[in-house]
Amino acid sequence: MSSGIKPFSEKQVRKKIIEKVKPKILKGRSKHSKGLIFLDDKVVAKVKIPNSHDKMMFANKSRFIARDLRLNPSEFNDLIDCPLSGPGYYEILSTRIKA
Amino acid sequence: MIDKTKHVYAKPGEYKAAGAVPAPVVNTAFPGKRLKTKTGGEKFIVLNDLNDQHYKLKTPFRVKISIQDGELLGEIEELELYAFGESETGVLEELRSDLIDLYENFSQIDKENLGETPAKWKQILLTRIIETK
Repeated sequence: MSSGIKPFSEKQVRKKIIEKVKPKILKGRSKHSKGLIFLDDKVVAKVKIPNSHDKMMFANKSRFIARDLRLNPSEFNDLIDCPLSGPGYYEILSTRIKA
Repeated sequence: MIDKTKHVYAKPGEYKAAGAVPAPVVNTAFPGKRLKTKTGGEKFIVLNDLNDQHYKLKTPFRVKISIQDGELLGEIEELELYAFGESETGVLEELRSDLIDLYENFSQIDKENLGETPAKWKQILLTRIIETK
């Protein structure tokens, strides 16, 4: 897979984003939830959160979620696969984002 | 032999019968330019409306459409918005919903509470979407 992102289930990606990134979930009409990501009390990113399906999500889709989260493929794999914690995610984010 | 210099365009469905060339797609966002399909299965279409009774677009958004592993992908690049779907209609519907959701949420957030990129998104949304209610 060219981008290096592993296949994960949509449910798995959703769960890890909600548990670790803890975005503020937006209310809206879209069929997919969206969340705002804060750093130092400022909105610095938004993320489209997959639905709670068992369907597998491949790199063609998950690369957009990685981009939303400002993570490279390897960091995204670590976030979903577990080594990367929530605080670890925000440490990476703070190096990439000007709040 | 079809003489394209005469610009005799057929109506939809008359292409073969009339032997004329099909009419070009009218690009209302960029007058004078024709929509083109790029290499790699990409093309750009213009989103002119939000199909909503409360919101409309002051200026259209350009949507990049491509095929990703058999699914259609639509992107509004300046807002980092994307949607996957089985049809162009479905993709555009999701992008319309996303635009309205973002507009409704970002318009409630003060600029000082937005980082650099989200502040740009807010500016784009407020400039290009208007409330009709």
